[in-house]
Amino acid sequence: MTNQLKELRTAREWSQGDLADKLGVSRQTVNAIETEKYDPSLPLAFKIARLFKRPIEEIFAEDGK
Amino acid sequence: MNSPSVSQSSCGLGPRAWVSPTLWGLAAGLSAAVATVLFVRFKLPVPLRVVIALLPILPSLGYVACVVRMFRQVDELQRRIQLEALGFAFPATAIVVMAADLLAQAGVLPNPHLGWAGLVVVMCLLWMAGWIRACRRYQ
Repeated sequence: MTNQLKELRTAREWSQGDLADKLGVSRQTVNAIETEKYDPSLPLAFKIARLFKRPIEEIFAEDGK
Repeated sequence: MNSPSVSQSSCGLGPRAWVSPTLWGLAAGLSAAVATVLFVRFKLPVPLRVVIALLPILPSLGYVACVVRMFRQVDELQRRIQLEALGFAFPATAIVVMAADLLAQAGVLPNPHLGWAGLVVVMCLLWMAGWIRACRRYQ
């Protein structure tokens, strides 16, 4: 799965630690999602979508779509 | 949605999270060692031997409760990492013990006489190895 998390985060000038605090996860989790080594659970994906006020499919997409 | 308390360490568990399980683990190990010494040195009545033999189970249960609580407090990636670490350590321990025993039976190695303490050490070492491996994968 690909995602726009890094772009959205840097547009707001947040560090990975800032985003991790807002989401209630570790910085390692944010980094793993940004580098697409880890796909978040649905609840966490919804939390991310709510935080950035975007539809979930605008942030996350299947590979090659 | 749950909001787990997350530390800022690279693997999601700060050093303070380890204090309680370490203390319970030490208590379990110490009580088991005391029980072994008592059995070797003294001829105790059977009911007392049973009580002494089962006493280390209490701190061991405290250790299990602490570890389970710790896993519930970490976030979803840390839980995945722990699952992968334990999924590696559990079969790997069986393989190591089986290989050591078979090599001893083949006369290639001396009998390892692992006992429960040796088994715990092997399990912990392989858990750590699995943990490091899983942490690296998600870095």
